[in-house]
Formats: sequence, C-alpha cells, structure tokens
Amino acid sequence: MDPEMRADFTAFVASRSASLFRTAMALTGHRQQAEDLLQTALARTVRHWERIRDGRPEAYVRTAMYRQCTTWWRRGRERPTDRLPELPGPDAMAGVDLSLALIAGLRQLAPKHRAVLVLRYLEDLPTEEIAEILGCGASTVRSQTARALDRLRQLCPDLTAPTAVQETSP
Amino acid sequence: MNDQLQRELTRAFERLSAGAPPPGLAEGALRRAGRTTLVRRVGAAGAALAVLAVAGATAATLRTTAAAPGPRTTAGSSTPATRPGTVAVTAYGCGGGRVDAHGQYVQDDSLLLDRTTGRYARVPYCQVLPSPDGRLAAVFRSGSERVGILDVASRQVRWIDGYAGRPAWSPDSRTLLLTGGPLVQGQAAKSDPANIGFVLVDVRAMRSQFHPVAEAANGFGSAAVFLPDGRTIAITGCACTPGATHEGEWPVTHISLYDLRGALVRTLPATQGLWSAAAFSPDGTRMVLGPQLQYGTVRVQVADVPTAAVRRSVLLPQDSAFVGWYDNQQLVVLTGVSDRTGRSARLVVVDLAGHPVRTVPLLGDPVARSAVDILLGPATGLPGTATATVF
Repeated sequence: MDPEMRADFTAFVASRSASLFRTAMALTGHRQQAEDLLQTALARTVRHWERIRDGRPEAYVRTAMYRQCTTWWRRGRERPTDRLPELPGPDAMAGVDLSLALIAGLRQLAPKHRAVLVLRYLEDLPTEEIAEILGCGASTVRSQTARALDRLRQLCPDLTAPTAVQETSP
Repeated sequence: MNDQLQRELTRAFERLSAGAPPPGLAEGALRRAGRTTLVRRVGAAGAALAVLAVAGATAATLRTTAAAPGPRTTAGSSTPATRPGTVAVTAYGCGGGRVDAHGQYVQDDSLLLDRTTGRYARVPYCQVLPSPDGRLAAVFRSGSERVGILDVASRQVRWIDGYAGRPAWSPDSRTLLLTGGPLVQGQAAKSDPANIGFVLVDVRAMRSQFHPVAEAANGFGSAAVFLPDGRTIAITGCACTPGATHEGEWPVTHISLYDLRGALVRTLPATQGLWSAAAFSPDGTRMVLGPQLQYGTVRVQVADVPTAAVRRSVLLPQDSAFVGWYDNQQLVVLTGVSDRTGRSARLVVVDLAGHPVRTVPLLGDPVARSAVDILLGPATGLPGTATATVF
C-alpha cells in the first residue's frame, strides 16, 4: 500500500470509526471484543483497500464484522451462556427499564441472531441489504429475525407480552 | 412486533453500543494487516500467511547455539549486557510500515543486529531476513518486488536480477531460497503456473536457478523452506477453494518435500503448515507446524522432522504468534500483538505445554514496538557490550 492509500485509509477510519465502533459494540456487547472485532475487520479492509476504496468501504467493513462475529462464535471464541445475569425482580422491573432486560437478553443471543437484529433495529436497514451483508436470502433474514425475537422473549419472560411477530418485507 | 418492544429494542441497542472508539484504530489495522500481508506482497507465489514465515527467525542459526541460558538483559535499556543469553533478536522488521508519533506513515525502517558490535543498525528496508551466520540479510523495499542481499558489515546491497519471491536461507547461509519465480517486466508473473516455483540463489556468485513447482502457487500461499539437512525443500500444501478469500478457507492438507532440482521426493499428510525456518528446533529434530490464522487462540503442533508426525499440540498464550524456539524444550512467542500502540507487545518464553516461563520486553525503539517481523538468532559470540535484546 502506498503512502497515499495509507493516508486515505487513515482518513476513512477517522471519519467512520465512531459509527463502526457502535456497530461492533452492539454486535459483541463487550468493549474489548468490540475493539478486537473492529480491528480485525479493518485489518482485512487494509488488505483489500486498493480495490474497495472507491466503492463502499464502510459496507465492506460492516460485512467483515458481521461475518467475523459469526466465525468467532463458530470457533468457540465467544459463546453465549445459558445463565442470565441477575436482574431486578418483576416488581422492580415493571415499567422502569425494559432495556436492561433486553440488553441482558441480547448478550445471550447467538451472533447471527444478534446481527440480524442489529442490522434491522440499530442500523435500520431493509431486508435485502441485510441479506446481502449476511450473505443469505431475504427469506432467511425474515425467519432469522423472527427466531431471534422469539429467543429474546424466551430469555426475557418478564418483558411486556408482545403481539405475534409479523415480519414483512420493507 | 409491537411498537413498545421495537422501541425498547432500539433503545437497548443504543445503550449497548454507547462508547467512544479507541484511539489508533487505523494504526492497529495497518500493523495487523502488515503481519499477514507482507508475504503476499513479496511472494511471487501469491498470498501466504506471514505468521510463522515473517517471524522467520533462522532456526538453522539457532541450531548452532550451545551456550547455557544466561541472565536476562534489560532489553530496551541503555545498560550493556554483561553476559549474553541464549537467544538474541537479530532483526525487527517494520513490514508494511508503521505510523509514527505524528501520525505519519514510515516505511522502510527496520533494525538489524550487527553481530560485531552487538548493536542494532537502522536500515532502510521494510523487511530484513538475516542469514543464519548473521553476515548477510535478505532485504526488501516498500513498493518493490526485488530482493536484495545486504552485507551487514559494509551495508552494501546486491539486488537479485530477474527473480523475486518470499525468501528463506539455507542452513549454511550460502543459498537464498525464493518462493516465487521470474520477474516479467519487473513484476512477478503470478498468473502463469510455468513461472511459479522456487529459485535458488547462490549468494556468492549471485547466480539464480529457477525450478517450476506448481504447488508453490497452492492455496492460501506457500513458502518453500529448507529442511535442516540443507538438501530438501518443504512446501506446505493446502486444499484450494476457487474464489476463497479468507485464510480459513485454505486448510492445510500436506507438506511436500522436493529435492534441490525441484523433483517431488515425498508428500507428508499434515493439518498445519510449515511456514519458515523458525519452525525448526535448535537440534533440527522437531518442527513447529502452525495454523494459518495468526491471532486469537493459536494452537501449534510440534512434529518430527522430516516425517511431520505430530508429537504434541501446544496452545499458545492468548493473542500471540509463534516466533521461534528458545531451546529444544521451549518456544518463543510474541504476545500483545493486537495492541494498537505496541506497548503490550513482548516476547514470552513458553514451555511445550504452552505455559509461560518468562517474559522479555522488546527494545524501546518505536521500530521494535511496531515490528511485524521479529527474528531470532544465537546470542553466542555477541560482545559483552551488546545492547541487543538478548535473553
């Protein structure tokens, strides 16, 4: 990589690191893992920078993060535990802070489930774009989203009873 | 999904993802990528993982080591070593470059041990691979595929004409082995199988002899390595998946042994690769076979030479990369490699169970702290005033 491309890459990271790190945090739920995940994805991006710099480098980094996250999980580097962290009881929970329970639940999800929820509810991406990033079909995205939400409800039984999941294409 | 849950889910993600990104991300990515792409750049055979190869300590050199372990030096300090240890860092290579304190990229800046003075010389190359006898070094400059042979004493470089590739030294330091082939119009002809193989360069006469070996273009990238006998060349073979882009998609399947004329002698089944001469134990009877992945949880195999029969599996400390052997019973790894600042990077001697035995700090120089190549050689013969990293 020549100096110009290195400078170009550095500028890209400087301008997008906050957003990318936010995604990494949402995907991993742990600062250290998020740093490692983003660093790994950026290192991969460096290797292909010449090819992707004029395209959509941010999309490339995000895709690398989502796929890396799933790969780590498959290799056992990160495993969701069966046991939920201790949370306030139902009385204390009631109407106070649903997101605490959700955060705990999200940390228990398998990365692929978490990824599909991050893409939809944090990144607000349409199904087709999620499918492209995750390397699967739109129908898979819809079914994975439904499963992720179902699992989330199992993990957080104290959540307000949701209505039936109705996943539709945007 | 009901509106409340959707709202709460969005809120939860926003809380979960709060936090400023760490500083130095670009620098860290470049350092990390440099470790894995260096060989891809210099190797005419195509991409190859640099983890073991660019760590590239010349184990053949280590084989000559006979000194008992000495006291640890205070690496990076100005206090001269009073007595050499067993192993010295013979070079810190900057690889693809580094980012200095002002955020500028610095290329072609490495440290090379001058054995006569015991001090490091700053040399204007991005990769340096000292010969086993320490008198020569294969060198590269950024942006060029040409391989130079540096005389460490005189600092004169002779550039190899017509051929390029990933370098490895013969145990006797007389031959430089390049995994690559002829240069066509100044570029490695990677797409032509007839131009892929290995090149034996007689460094005294500067005569090169090319032997086409299709396997040198195999998989995630191959590295031809001299076996300790000096008569056999090993190339790790991978299962090739067309279109694969991730190192994990190139599983190692075997190690092929060739004679010096490029004829296949034997194929050994293997699941991990032999990437550099650093893999060989000082007595030459065992070798470390490593994974293609460089970071995270790294498990290596200790296998017999030359059969590749695995004797034990060693789980290296987290976030580390194999560098070389300390003696016949201990390995040296570089840990803290993913630290963006380089401050956590240090060498650790581990036993063959993977347990850390002792830690050796890197030289305080910024080049050392950001080095992608850390090469080892014997400490024997270094002057008592050596300031090199000796342990």
